[in-house]
Order: sequence, then structure tokens, then C-alpha cells
Amino acid sequence: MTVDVYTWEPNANAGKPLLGLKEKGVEFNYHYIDLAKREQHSPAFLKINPHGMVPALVHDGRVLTESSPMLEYIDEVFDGPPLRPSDPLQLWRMRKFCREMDVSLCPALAMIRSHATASVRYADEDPEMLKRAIERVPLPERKRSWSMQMFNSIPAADIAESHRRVTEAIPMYERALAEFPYLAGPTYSLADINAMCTIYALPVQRPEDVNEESTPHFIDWYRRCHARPGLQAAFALGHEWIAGRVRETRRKLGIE
Amino acid sequence: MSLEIYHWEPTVNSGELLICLHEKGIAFTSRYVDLLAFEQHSPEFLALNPRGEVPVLVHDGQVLTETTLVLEYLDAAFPGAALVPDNAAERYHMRVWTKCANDYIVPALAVLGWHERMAGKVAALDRESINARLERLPQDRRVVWQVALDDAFAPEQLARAAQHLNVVARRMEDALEGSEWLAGCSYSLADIAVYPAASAFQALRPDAINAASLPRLAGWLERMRERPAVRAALGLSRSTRPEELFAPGPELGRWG
Repeated sequence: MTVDVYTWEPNANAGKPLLGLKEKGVEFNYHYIDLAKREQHSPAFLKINPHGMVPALVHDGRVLTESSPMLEYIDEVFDGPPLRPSDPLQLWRMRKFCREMDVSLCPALAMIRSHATASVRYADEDPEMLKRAIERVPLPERKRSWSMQMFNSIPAADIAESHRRVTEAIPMYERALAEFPYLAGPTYSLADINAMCTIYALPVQRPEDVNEESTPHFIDWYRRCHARPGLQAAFALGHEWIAGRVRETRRKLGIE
Repeated sequence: MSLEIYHWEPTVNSGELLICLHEKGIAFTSRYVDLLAFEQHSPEFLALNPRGEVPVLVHDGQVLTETTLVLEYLDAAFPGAALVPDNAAERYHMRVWTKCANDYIVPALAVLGWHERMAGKVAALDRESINARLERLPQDRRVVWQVALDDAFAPEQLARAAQHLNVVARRMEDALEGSEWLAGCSYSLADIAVYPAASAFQALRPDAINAASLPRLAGWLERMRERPAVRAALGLSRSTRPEELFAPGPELGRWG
């Protein structure tokens, strides 16, 4: 049996197979796809995923490229602790948190971050080179977001709406975690893994919204998640800008 | 046991849920919500689902939303025909298709179908009383309705919606090569999640989807149409032509 993961850092969607496989204790080959060099649009990677997006998981020759269904697959086929509750209602809650992250929160944060860094990141690049880079992006909807990012043309109203979504999501997490220790219910699940891939550092990145006073249950959930060996092993695979951010979060939570 | 379904016409999301219930032979109480009378924005309905979206399932007092997640819930919580494949690879493909229905097909069809078939019909409605109702919605849902009622879709948005649907139609044709159903050899929630929107797209673009242009897709649509559960779900329509009815749906992806 071979398991090959082609992905970037343990960050957002790219992190899902890393956190999932480490939690299950599965051995795998980690093939680093450098998004800074736009390797996901290289001919070599397009042979693995013609859509030009990370992550891709290759298990015994089978290629999987959609990260949330990929997490369910990882839980289904590998030994190790179960990462999905068996109760149908808790399963529905698990998938609802995954879905809200995938369609609302994760894209909102990606848009905010792209906007914040674009003017620095692409300032020295030749616009004609950038246009050619966009031409190499296979999916039309990804062409669109790359173009908005590289040419810093995201409408201000869209940025404002993304901030609104992040701000509104935080009390929703606090309420859910006041009811149960984990997002789906009493046990750690794919919903927590999916969330941690993207919002692992909110106590450091948004201290005004996520802190001991206003979101005590959310903060306790961060402590429980960041204490997990599987999660730590996955974040340890990241380069310093990720690992350092995780260390800083752990320090702030008082567990480093 | 009590099972109530709040739904509109058997199109897109409401249609998916009604087909699934009939496939499994689950008895339920139908609560028809007339979207064109704006019943989904009444205080009574918003108490069930603050986003003002159908369908909603209420199972022994528990309120569940997000259609494709409810489909998996029904399959896990009730006896009857299995609608989730018995092997992990097909289950992965099933979830890729239910996600595709959610994120691409249904939102794109809502934009295109409303613009082409509904916008003219609602122009005469009393906007003042409707606007008062829209005030009760979360910001993002209110914007979706306002754009639809004003038929104020950007040309870029209409083009993107049409492009999504054409891309997915091609993907379906490819997926049906060598297998009778979308996820593989078993009929599954993938077929149920995609069918109502695919059928409506065919009604909207008969020149693009037919036995000559996309023969496997056209054959699959025929097989679906003949299923007793699909016929039973369509039998719940209050219109003679449910495939001509559209409602403003979930938004098109904002960030690829």
C-alpha cells in the first residue's frame, strides 16, 4: 500500500490530508507543491490533478482531489481512531461545520489575506508574466480569483462582506462549543480537523474577537485541539511561517 | 416518530429531498412553502430557518438544513434502499458530486433560470411589502433576493453561471462513460442531488443537452425520469410545468 500526498503547507485546504493522515497515524510520502512558485499549474502536477489545485491524494493508484470528501475517504479506508461520529445527527453537524467552512469562512479568509498581501507580493512582477501565469490556470473560476488577486482588483464591497462573515462566524463557534467540547459533539472529528486547517491561529490573528473573555469555550476548544499529538505532527511539517504561527498560538493558550 | 418536510416545488433542493424520501419509502408530512408568495420570509418560517431557505426537515423536533447533508442523514437514520455505495471509492465520488450540485450546479441554475424565466413574471410584484420581508434576512441572503428581483445580475455573473453549467454537463458525460450512475455502478445520492438541477438545465438549454450532443447524459436523464420515486416527487408539484420554475438560490462561489 502506498499513500502519496501532493500538497503545500499544513494550511487551509492544503492541510486537510496532512492533519487527517497524521491523526489516523498513517505513513505517507509528502510531495511539496510550492504555491509561491505556482507549481500547482506545472505540467507535472497537472498530470496528477488536471484542475491544478492542491491537495491531491494518491492511494494505491487512485487519485483524489476534493479535500473534504478526501477527509471522509481517509477516515473510511485507514485504520486508526475513528474521526467521524456514528450518530446520524452528530454526523450531520460534522458535515454542516465542514460545509460552512468550505463555502463561507475559508473563502472569506482567503480573499481577505489575498487582498492584504497582493500589493506587496506582485508589485515587482511583470504584468505580462502574470497574465501568462493566469493563462496556465485550468479552471475558469480559479482564473478569475487569481486575476483579482494578482491585479489587486477585488471589489471593496466583497472584502467588507468577507470581514462580516468572519465576524459573524465567531459567536456561532462559541455557541456550538458551549454546548459540546467539539464541533460535531462529544468527540474530535473531521469538523475540528477541517476548521483547524484554516483557523488554527485566530487567537493570535484576531485577538479582539477570539479571547478568554468574549469566547471562553472557543479558546478551550483551541487548547484541546492544539494539545493533540496528531495535529502537532501535521503542523510540524510546515515551514517556519506556519510552525512559528502555531507556536505563538500555543504560547498564547498557555500550552507551550 | 414525526417527520415534517418544508419544501417548495419539486425543483432543485426541494426536489432532491422529495426524491430521496420516496426512494427510501419514508412517510412524511408535507408542508408546502410558496416561495413566490414569500412564505419563506414569514416570521414563522424564519423561526425554523433564519436564512429563509427551503427545504427544511424537522425530525422529532430536530431541525435540519443543507439539503445534501440531509440526504446523507436520511440514508443513515432510516431503513430502506441503501443510497450510499458500499465501497469507499464510490462514496468519495458520490460526495464530490453532491458537493458539485451544492456549489456549482444549483447556484448557477438559480441565476440563469431566474434571469431567463422568472424575472419578467415578478416585475409587477409590490416591492415595498417584499422589501419589508427581506429586511428580516441575513445580509447575504437579502442581497441575493434584491439582485434577483431587480434582475440586476452582472453580465459577468450570467456568463459565469452558463459556463459552470456547460462545464458540469461535460463532466457528467465523462463520468457516465462506462458506468450507469454518476458515482459508479450503484445508484446513489449523487444522482439524486444532481438530477433536479440537471433536468431543469436541459429544459432551459435543449439545444445543448440532447441525445446527439451529450448522449450518455441524455440517457441518464431518461433513466432518472422513469424512476417511480422521481415521478412521485414530481407528483407533488402544484404547477403543470415545475421545470419552468426557479427561485434565487445560494450564491455563486465568491472566491473560486
